Amino acid sequence: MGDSKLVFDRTVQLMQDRLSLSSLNQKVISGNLANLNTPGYSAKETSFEHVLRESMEQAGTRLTLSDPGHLDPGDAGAAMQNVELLETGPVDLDTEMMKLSRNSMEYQFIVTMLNKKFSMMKTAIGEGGL
Amino acid sequence: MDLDNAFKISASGLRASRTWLNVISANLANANTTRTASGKPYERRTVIYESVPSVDSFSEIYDGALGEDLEKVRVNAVVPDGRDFKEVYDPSHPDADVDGVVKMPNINSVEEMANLVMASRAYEANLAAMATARQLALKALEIGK
Repeated sequence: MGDSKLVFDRTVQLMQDRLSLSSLNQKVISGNLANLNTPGYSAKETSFEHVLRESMEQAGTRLTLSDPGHLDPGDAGAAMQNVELLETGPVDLDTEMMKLSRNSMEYQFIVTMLNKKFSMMKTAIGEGGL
Repeated sequence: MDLDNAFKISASGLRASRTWLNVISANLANANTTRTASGKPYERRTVIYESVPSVDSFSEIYDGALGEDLEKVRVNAVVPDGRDFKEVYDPSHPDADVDGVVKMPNINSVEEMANLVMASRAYEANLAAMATARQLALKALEIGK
């Protein structure tokens, strides 16, 4: 997708990365649930949230923030590229089930957003007409 | 497909839980078995779970940089747990020794039932993960609709 920035802008790229990340998250959670009763297994978690926060704290130079409340988009894209797996100790069934349903909601939310984006593009292509 | 691995991992969990369920069933069924092929009473069996990397082909390693960190589960072995037999005084039993003592399998049905619940919960959890993966895969087909 990379170069066709005119049609597929940053938003689409970000949502695409977020979908990949949610897929990875699904696999990580599946792995934790499969190893629920494996002795010595440590639950795994993607480092995305942590990396995202760090990336937002290292203020970028792209946008001027005129208010401390403004969020700098920073390099959220890069945060999603450099995902690592962290080990978080024994598997907790309830935590994993919570993460499972949250991840599923996030995934479906992004797909809906992506469809909205495409429908906006269609409107633009059709010059807002029928 | 990207979620393929999620299905495989969940499937490994389902398989492992089912093996455990089978072992527990065998233990409960043989709670009073005094004769086996080896001549001894039935020995309580237990499963050993082992986590193994979830990638099993070159293309999967090539595709997923994080693939080798994700682990599925495998039943490494089903082993007798080596605890002593229960000794019950029952001179009328055909397998009683000269003192009238029968060696019975050391199976505690409460313990087996507790394990049964755990195995069944693990099975359900893996099933839920698999159902979610399926839901996500179907949702992905809606992109651009």
